[in-house]
Amino acid sequence: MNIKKYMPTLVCGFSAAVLSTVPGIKNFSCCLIVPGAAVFSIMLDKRINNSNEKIQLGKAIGFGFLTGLVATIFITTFEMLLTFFTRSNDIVQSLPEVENMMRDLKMGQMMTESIKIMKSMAKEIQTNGFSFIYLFMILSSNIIINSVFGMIGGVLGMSLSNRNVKEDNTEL
Amino acid sequence: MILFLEPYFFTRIFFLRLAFFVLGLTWIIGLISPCLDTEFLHSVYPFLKQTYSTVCHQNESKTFHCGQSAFFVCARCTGIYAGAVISSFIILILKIKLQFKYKYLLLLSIPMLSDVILYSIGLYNYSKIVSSISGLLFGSSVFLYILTAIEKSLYTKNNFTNEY
Repeated sequence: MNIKKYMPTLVCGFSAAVLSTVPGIKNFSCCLIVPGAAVFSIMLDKRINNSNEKIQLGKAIGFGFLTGLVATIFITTFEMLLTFFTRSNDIVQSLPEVENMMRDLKMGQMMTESIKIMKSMAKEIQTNGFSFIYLFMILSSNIIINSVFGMIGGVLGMSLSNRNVKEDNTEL
Repeated sequence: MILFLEPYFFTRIFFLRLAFFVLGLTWIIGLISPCLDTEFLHSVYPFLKQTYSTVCHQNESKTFHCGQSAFFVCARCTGIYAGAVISSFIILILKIKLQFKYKYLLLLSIPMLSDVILYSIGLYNYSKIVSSISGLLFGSSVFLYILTAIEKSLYTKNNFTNEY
């Protein structure tokens, strides 16, 4: 396996995961961290390979997807570690509020079951610092969202890189 | 110069635009789901809240409300996604060949960047309306820029002619 080929996605995915755990930065940059990381991974790949060729759509989407996937793995790992050591997390802390909110919506059996699952998850986290339901919840949501946002960033990175190629060629 | 796509309906470009619109609409329905009267969406409330938390800080004071319920993302993010969906709908019904340039992306990003910077340095208080409008401009410009890049790649693959 040529690790050099995947180095930009690993570096940028890891950086995105680190940035997402810093509260202030997350508040500031909202949904731009993972797409931004994908843009940077495309740029970094170009720098590493010293290439001046146009980036193809398939490669850009692939790079974005991989960056999102790497970010997901590290984000989930950091989140699980923090939950394990603190025996708490955002979901556990906001559970009473969420429960009240759901009760206000006055829904039927499905809502009751949903609250039951959330409560058992919170109990597991408070006693063991780990819950499979929580792991499944954050892993599935992170995989879906970060992969899609990574691909969006990949296409954006492709467009920005190819724009520079055009300008370079014009200058020549 | 505006170029029109003929034929347009039921071509690959049309389905691409349709797919983006449907996906965007689904995403918007998800983020406003606390305001919708559906048992299924309400029963998965914690999961949806967690899903949207990966893309937004979900600060309630910066979020639009409908009655007691708050949207899953802040006003700025709501604007960004709404901008993308609105522009995807407009571009879906217009048969024009998309040529959205980088300078427009920069130009339409300025309001949001200015709002973020000016609000952060304390020049004025946070306004949901300003955030959502600047986000709307940014979201629509990013969407159109990305769609232009994808469509351009498709044109190139088809040597600019086969698709039409």
